[in-house]
Amino acid sequence: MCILIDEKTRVIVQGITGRVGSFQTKIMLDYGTKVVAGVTPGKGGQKIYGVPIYDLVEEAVEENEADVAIGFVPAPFAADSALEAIEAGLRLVVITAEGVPIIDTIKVLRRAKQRGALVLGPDTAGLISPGRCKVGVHPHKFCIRGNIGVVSRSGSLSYEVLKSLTEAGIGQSTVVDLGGGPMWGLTYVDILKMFEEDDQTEAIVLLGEIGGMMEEEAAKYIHEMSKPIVALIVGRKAPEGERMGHASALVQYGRGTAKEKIKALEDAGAYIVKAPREIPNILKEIL
Amino acid sequence: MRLYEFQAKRIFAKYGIPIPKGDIADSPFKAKKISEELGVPVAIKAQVLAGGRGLAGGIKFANNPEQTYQIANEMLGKKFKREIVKRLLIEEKIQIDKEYFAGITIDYQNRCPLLIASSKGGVDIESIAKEHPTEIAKQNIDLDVGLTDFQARRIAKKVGLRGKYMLSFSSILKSLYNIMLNYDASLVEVNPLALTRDRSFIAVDAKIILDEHASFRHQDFYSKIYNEFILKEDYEVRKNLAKKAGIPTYIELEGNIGIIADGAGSGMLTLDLIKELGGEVETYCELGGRTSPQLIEKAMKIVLSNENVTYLLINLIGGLNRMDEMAEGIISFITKNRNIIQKRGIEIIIRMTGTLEEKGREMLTKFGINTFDDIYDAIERIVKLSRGN
Repeated sequence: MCILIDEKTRVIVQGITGRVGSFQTKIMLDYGTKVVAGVTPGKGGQKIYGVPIYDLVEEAVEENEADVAIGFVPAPFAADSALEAIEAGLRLVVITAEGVPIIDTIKVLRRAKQRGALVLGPDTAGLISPGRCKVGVHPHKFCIRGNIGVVSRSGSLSYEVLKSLTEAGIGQSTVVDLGGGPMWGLTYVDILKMFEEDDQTEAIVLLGEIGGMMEEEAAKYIHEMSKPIVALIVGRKAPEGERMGHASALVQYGRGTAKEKIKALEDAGAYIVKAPREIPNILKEIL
Repeated sequence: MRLYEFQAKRIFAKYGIPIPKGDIADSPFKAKKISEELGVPVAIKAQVLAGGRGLAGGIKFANNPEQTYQIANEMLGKKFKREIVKRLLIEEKIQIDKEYFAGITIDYQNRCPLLIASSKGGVDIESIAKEHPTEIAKQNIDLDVGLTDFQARRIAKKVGLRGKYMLSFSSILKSLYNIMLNYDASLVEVNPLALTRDRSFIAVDAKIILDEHASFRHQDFYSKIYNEFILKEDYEVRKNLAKKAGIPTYIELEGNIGIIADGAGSGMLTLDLIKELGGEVETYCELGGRTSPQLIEKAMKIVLSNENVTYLLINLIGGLNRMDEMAEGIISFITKNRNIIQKRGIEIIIRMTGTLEEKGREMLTKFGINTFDDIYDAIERIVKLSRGN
């Protein structure tokens, strides 16, 4: 199979009439994703690309069975929209907004934990199970169906890697972007556990970057895993003390460096590469 | 965004945290005048944002106004890392009996605010954690309930305080928490929090880092703070322009290559690969996922206004970003700036792939620009050009 989303996944798009929301909804629909409803407060009762629009998520869920929500809502409203989706009982809530205040993120993740909902993001490109379902903004021309799981903290870095994999004929089971941080709902460990249990996934590509301790946490779990991991860490040449574009990508007081992360992953048995183009060859060797 | 010490102390005072008497000086004369008014030995503190100020000579003491003048004269205009000292905080020198640490920050792993205190203040918390791990008291805070009085008192007790000292310390902790909440700060810290010889607590230093993502909730406050940032160096001006234009990341390093990328991960990959191939990067500019033709045009303008940048690599791998919009912005910039590009011999390499790439590429080809599809080809090309072969 694949993880988190598949052919049966039914999706609600929050912010479906916005510039980005409508554009990306069209792409998801064309890809075959079952976008069953959209939400834009004040536009309930209208339709876009044949998809019914509601004022509230709970109305959308009531009339159309759905299990996943993705929000294309500006950062100041992103927390409220995620809380609404959690409240309505959705299983997985994807937050694409960049720049969500940290206090807001804490509130959303607390509520999600209480309600048993999974949150992907914030600042995530979403996820895609190639050939089955896409909930996000990955350029899907870089994706083909296969048996490699990909997990990243950066949409753009994962696109680079997907391009390399697909050009080499290596397909993917599911591709998950955890988001730019500095606080995450789903983490590397969560996703690695799912890939470990997924019978379609044979190997995993982990894409990491400087800042935070999430790769180090992942390394602890990788020690116990049976499936091979190929890891790429970027920000090796980033100056200390500068935020490189993700709220989390900042080396502080010598912690969170690329060196430390590479060492932890290497000690855990991961194959370390320096550039996306090295990944296909390693995968071919180990599988 | 880190605040200057004097800005942080202003907030502390508003929340009832005792701070030393003093004022800001931007000239030796003003420094002397403040020193005269205070009439006691003073501390002279460079107002810079970089850490490690004390060790680098950014904090000195003077016994009289003449000495203050002399020290201020030496300190103003001095450089700390890339920062020029433009302002000094002149304060009464505090007679310290014991130094404490008190701070509130975000616990990213446990996803909540975290209060930290220690009786071993005066050095950074990382060193305290290393040398006196048992002397640190911590409290995770549940946002629904907030920091309660009893939790604050418990922390004060854990750092060894009793009686009225416990009570005044815990009320400072509460203030720190309220500042974090009311200003959307990701860090509020007092180090050292001094117990003076006349037995009262006073915040000798003050550090606040704001979560700039929440600036939309504090617009008046932010515009006031922005106005207090004096921009002297060219790079500071460029950095500020980038910020105003809505460009998420603009960093200057040292070299002759400029990078504009439309993602943080691909941007860092580009930086790594260029440097590992022997290229030298002057500017790292990252546009994030909410771009427009205007945004990339502004980014090109700001990056190339730095005359050290002769070679510009634009690496675009659009997910959210649309390549037709990127092409539009690039074409608009080049059309308006042909003279400058020619005069300075600027080379622009564009790598374009992802969402609507066919359309974007077609627009650029028509305009007379070839694009790269492969990141390595583009990087190899820019490094070769920048090294003159």
